[in-house]
Amino acid sequence: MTTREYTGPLAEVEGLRVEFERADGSRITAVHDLGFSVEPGKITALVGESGSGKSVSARSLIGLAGQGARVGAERLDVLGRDARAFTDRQWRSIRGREVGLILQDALTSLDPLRPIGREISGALTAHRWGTRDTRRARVLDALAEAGLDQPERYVRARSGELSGGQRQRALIAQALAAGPQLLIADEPTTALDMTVQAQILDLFERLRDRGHGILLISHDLGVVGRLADTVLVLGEGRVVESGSAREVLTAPRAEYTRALLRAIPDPSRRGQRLSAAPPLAIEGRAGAPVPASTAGDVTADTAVSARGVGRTYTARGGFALADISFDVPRGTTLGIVGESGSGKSTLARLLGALDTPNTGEITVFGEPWSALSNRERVPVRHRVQVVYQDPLSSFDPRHRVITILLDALRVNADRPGGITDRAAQRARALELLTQVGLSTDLADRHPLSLSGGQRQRVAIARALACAPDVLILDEPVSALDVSVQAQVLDLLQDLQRALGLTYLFISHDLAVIHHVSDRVLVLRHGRAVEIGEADQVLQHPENAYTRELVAAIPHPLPTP
Amino acid sequence: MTQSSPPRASGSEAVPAGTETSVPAFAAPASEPAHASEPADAAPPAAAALPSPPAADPRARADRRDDTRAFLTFLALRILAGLGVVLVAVSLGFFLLRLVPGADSVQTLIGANGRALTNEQIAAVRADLGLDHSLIVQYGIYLGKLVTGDLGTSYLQRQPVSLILGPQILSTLQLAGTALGFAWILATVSTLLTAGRRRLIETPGRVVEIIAASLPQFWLGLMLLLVFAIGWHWFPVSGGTGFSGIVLPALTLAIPLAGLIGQLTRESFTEALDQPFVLSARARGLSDLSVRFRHALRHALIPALAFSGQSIGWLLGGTLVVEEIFARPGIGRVIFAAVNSRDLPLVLGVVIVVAVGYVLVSIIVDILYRIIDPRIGVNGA
Repeated sequence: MTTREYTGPLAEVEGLRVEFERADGSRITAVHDLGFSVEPGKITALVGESGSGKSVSARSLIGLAGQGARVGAERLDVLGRDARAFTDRQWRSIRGREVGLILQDALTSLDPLRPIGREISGALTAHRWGTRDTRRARVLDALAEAGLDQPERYVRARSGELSGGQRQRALIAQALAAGPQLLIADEPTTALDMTVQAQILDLFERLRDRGHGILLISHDLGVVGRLADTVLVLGEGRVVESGSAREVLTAPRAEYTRALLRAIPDPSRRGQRLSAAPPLAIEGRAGAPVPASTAGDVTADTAVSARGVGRTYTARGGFALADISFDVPRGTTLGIVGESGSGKSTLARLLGALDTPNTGEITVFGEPWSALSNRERVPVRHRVQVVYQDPLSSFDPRHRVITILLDALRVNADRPGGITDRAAQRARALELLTQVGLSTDLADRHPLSLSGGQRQRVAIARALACAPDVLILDEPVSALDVSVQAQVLDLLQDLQRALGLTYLFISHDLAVIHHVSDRVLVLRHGRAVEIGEADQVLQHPENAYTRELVAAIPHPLPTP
Repeated sequence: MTQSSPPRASGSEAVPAGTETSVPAFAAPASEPAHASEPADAAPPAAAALPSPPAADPRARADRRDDTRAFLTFLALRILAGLGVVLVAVSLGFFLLRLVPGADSVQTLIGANGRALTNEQIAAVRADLGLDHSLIVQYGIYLGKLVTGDLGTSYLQRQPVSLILGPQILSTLQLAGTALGFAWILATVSTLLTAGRRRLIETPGRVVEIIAASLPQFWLGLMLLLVFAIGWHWFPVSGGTGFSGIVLPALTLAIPLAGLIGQLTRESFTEALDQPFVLSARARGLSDLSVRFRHALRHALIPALAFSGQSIGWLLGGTLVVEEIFARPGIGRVIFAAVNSRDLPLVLGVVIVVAVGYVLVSIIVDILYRIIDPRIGVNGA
């Protein structure tokens, strides 16, 4: 199924408009007057932040814009056929066979209960393609086309049993199975590790070279810059800017595009602000009491120190982390970078004292930390706080924002510097909201009704309520759009300067790590691969693995 | 882009010699080695010749052997725990019945209420029934016999309990099984047809389920009897042989149960329909019915299955009412008579039967659970 017959535009769209009916019966327009085309052997990208209408637009091409969606267009041609008046049956006949859809994160985009092989052959049986035997052969072909070696190994596996990259390839195989020439790829690399992402992007290039036309949807300008021929930037359902990828990404005309590009962390602008928002005026805190320095090489100016830290989980016999040592000077940031399975989450748990190392010791300001019993740690616990990737799951959904902050303040009321007066606690909670750049109007809202960026700010405010000296930031911006990520990174930088905080910033994203870190620790399979100054490690990596990671960073601007 | 431009697009050589393949092939979470091993096992011997994947074969085979062992261990533990449940049920039943006032009154026991018996007669009967021993000794004797499969002899009917219960159990099991089957069919059809659709279709489905779940069995049974047996003569009023005789009693039990199961499946079904994998399936060209049947339904069955296991007690309780209304034989009527007359061996016999049934069903549910959702490891993680 590699021969591609159709040579005209695979999709031609003009004046696309998508409306949704809301629960109260009113209508909301998600997409206004959108026009684009996808040519064989070319990649057209729709770029924008969440809620910009890019996914809905793409799904309109297969008649799956969603429940309650009303799609109108001046022109909606799919492989030369006018799809505006398609019946349900006609839509089904093109889905999978003419147009394939690849979603993000195959863990949820493939049925977790069904083997991969059944999922793939589903595309064939839906179109009554072939016989049992030819279908089986085609499934193996599709897996091979998606770049999986020894495809027969994957046929009986379920998505949950595969690694992220294998899973995403299986998802691509599922879309390729019935031989569609047009592919819609909706954030196809979002949940993947950097090196895996680079491989999947290679795969898309090969598919393009084989004559597939691809409609790529992404919020990641790095990915878009690498793949796309044509780019349309969407903002609030309208095209803000469009043109060739080079034009749009190197000489953006619209301010919106410029802001998006500026939001991407780039080594050349390290330490500069990423968002347009002005720095927050944060009152510095009276310096935290500095404990007397202890003997040895660790001084009180070292905020966090790890010596030979290791953690073994007996269930599998293997180690999650082995022999990790580092010092983080007060007021600086240590970036901890690694791919999934590298042990960075384990390290975060150890640093946050949610788990105890089997070997080695972690000290905070020269005093024992990991060696303390939970009871002994209570009086000092507030000094190290953790901020997670998805704060929603660490908030009680029935609590209001103000309650979340008050809880943290009350727990710390009895400590030196704690606030015992109720009115003062409330005032401090509101002050914290302002500190993290949130309006105090949000105090009575529930976290569920907040945006991702707002939630992350609340999580930071909650951590600050404990008056910490050290923040463990565990993938704090990984779930955020690039422009929101920029704002949160700026906020973290403002807070660090004003409050003298020490950060341990954990991320899989090297560009982010480079932007925020003074020093960088690279983890792989639970071991420290490289540690050093950020510029040194990320621009002149000594280790082969670090070099590979660095090479996998997609850059938005075509390299000259 | 540096493209190695593969000569033919057959894919396998197209994989860049990247890190991905060097990751152990199946980065399976620890809880599910069983399934991780399957595909790896199927790999041709050529796997060894390839540079990257650490030869997964021997390990996979060992994993699978471990899994079989783990499953057998799980089953053995489950059965052992089940025996424990039965023992506790029997013991509770034994002592509770003995502690009821008048429980060892010979007059009650032999159905001779009001008749005057001489002390010698009473002593003879007590010795005959084994009541002259202390409670603990009686308990020990009962358990000892139980181990050899002897359920004892009914005080009142002077017949072995197993002989009395045997035919009744079959009838009750038929009724409960048919009812459960009906309930599943009704709930599944209702979910498949109405869940996750336009409000005009969904709401009636929802309402019908709520009403069904709240119908009292005795009333429902009488109504079914009035309409279908007495009014329309579709089914026999009582007794009746074969399938036609069981339809109305089973429906009496099934309709409320279907309402409850339906509510559960509807919720998880609707949830499943919102998942990205359903969008993927639709984008492959699957029809709405296929999506519902092949994808969403399986996810919807999981909570309903768990509930079915729990509902066995409810079902057996229900048979008591239904057997009375439809004048069917069954343990429901036996237990009623036995408790009334303090016929301890008979009551305990029923308790054992119900407990064993309960344990068996929950083991079966556990096994089915693992078939429907293979992600659940043998350790239940």
